[in-house]
Amino acid sequence: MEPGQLNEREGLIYLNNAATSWPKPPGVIAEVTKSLQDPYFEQGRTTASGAIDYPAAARETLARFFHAEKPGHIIFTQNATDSLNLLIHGFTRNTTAPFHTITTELEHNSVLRPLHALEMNGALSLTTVPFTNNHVSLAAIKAAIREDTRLVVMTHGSNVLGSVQDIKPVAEYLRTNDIFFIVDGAQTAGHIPIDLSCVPVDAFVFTGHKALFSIPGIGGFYLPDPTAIAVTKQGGTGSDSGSLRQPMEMPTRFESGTHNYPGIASLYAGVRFIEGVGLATIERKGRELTASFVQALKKTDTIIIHNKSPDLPIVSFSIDGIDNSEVGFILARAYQVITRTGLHCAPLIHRRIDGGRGCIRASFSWFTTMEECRVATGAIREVAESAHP
Amino acid sequence: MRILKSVQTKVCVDGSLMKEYVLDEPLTESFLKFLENFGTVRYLDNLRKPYFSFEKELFISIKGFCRGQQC
Repeated sequence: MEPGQLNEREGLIYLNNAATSWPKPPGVIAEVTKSLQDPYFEQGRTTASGAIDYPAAARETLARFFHAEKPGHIIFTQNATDSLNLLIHGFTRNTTAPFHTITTELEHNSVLRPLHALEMNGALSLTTVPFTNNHVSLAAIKAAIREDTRLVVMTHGSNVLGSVQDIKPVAEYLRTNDIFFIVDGAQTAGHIPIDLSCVPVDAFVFTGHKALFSIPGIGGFYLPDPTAIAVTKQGGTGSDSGSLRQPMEMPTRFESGTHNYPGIASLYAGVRFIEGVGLATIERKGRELTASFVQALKKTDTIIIHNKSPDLPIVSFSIDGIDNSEVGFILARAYQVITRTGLHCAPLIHRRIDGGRGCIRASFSWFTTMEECRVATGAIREVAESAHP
Repeated sequence: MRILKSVQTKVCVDGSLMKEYVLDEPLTESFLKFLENFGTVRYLDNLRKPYFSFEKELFISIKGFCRGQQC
């Protein structure tokens, strides 16, 4: 499937893929349909046979994709926010004394709000490490570490600046210092290679509905050693049903209740689609689109680009003299260019880059075409030049 | 000028309402001039669809497009 062939809504240029990717590959839609047409099959929960055990198949696929050693340690959740809440609250419940946690200014509210709530409850104290040149350095994290630091939660890729953080040296340092490391990969999974066999993170979080091309409502995390995370949800698992205690085996330890089968089927198909195209090809195209987009916007002085060399296909900008929401409105209604305006659920980044006013974000996927970028940048420049005739 | 259609599209966190209106005729330049008596009008006429906004702080904010040849 070639980019540009799926956009059946004629003229619509969808540049909001960092929120939710669109369109979805036909194989994803077909797999969701199939998952709804076939009788549900998952070991322990039915006598049906012959259909695909989607949870098992998706775990195998994701483990291969992330180079994760233990497929059974891939846990399904609703999304990255659900994963981060489960991990952060689970870690805190397992740690008796109030402890120190480090996070960064680059985080999404899916990290900041759970940590802030726990800080307000007195369960932890929090240090937020600033970023420099769109990145958080290992040195900055080292400088924030205290004797009672037990947890670091950090984004892999910024949803506003598009900068990818070098998590490997951070993970290695934290591992040697026995500090639990949770990485939020919501923006990187599906865009760049992630090799968990050589990066010793304690938990890696992903979501399906962005670059992994699934439908919304499915995400997860990889947790090689589950002992640090308390189980905060109990219920039916389809296994050891005679016991009133939650099974401690993975993955049932953290997966109570019936799975989101269509969501898991879509995630399974989405990752297989990426494997079919080739992640290196997708990454290369993302870089080309982004460079071209930035290059075009740079031609107009009144367009402020917040990171001119993003690692991910995300370009955030503002137009001098015109409100971001007005720009978004004009682009959508007059040019059919869909972006996202505002704070992007990342308030601390915006306090640094634009005084908390927010910006406009354009984000691309494999299905975005160079021609769409050309038309969109033309529209943005037209708005900027119109505001400053 | 009459409102043909009104849709309440959003309730904002501060309690204000966002509504979308379809009018029975294009907005005219003279109407935008008239609005200047009550607040700030921005008019961008070099766009694919000419855009206008009207802002009366702490009271009302209007934005939309002028279609047709006049405005």
